[in-house]
Amino acid sequence: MSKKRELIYYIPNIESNKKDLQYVHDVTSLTLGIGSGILTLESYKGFLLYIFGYTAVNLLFYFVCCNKKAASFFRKPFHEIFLEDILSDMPGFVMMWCLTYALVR
Amino acid sequence: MSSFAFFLIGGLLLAHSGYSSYELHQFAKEFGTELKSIPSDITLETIAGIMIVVIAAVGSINKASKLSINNEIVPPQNRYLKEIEMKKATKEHETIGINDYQGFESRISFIDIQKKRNEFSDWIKKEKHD
Repeated sequence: MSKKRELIYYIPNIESNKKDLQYVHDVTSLTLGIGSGILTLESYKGFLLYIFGYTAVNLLFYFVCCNKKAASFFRKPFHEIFLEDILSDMPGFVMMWCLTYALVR
Repeated sequence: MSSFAFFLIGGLLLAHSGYSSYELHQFAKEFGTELKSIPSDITLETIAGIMIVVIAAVGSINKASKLSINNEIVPPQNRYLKEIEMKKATKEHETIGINDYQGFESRISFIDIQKKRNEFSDWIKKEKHD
């Protein structure tokens, strides 16, 4: 018999937390896109800004919103906060980057 | 409300730095000079704008207090996110007295108000007679 306790989750709160995290990620990726367009960054520099900025915002989210107890708000905290959305938010970032770059240049 | 102010300030900073960058590039194009790098004031303004907008986004997901069924204001368990463990998540519902599915359980829009009121007035009349 395994002594491991099985946790029961409340699904609506999981959805709500995911929605909040998604909102923060969306705003972050679009704003970073605007920023790198204004600074007229090119090639890998823009992606570096994206990765560093995104990770910095995730750390802010982890320390401020989760209060360092991310396990009580997300099922897979590290994966969900830091890794899962970084690629799926990249198209939005590139879109805003191109748009502001074209407007500024 | 405060997060709206932050969004506004950050947006204005971004717009201003964007316009500055646009003017700089137009100037460089006009005089045929090659821009080596963006001046540091535009860079700093852009970074400040990004930071303010992001802080506004993080701050704007906070949860409001709720009014319990006993007419007391119940502050949220956590300021930003909701507990996902069942026993902790339902604790809040117990203090408030209603749950997330109250709308489905009581079906307010399907209640026949006139019938309920008639029943109530009949009951009142009957009570007064007795």
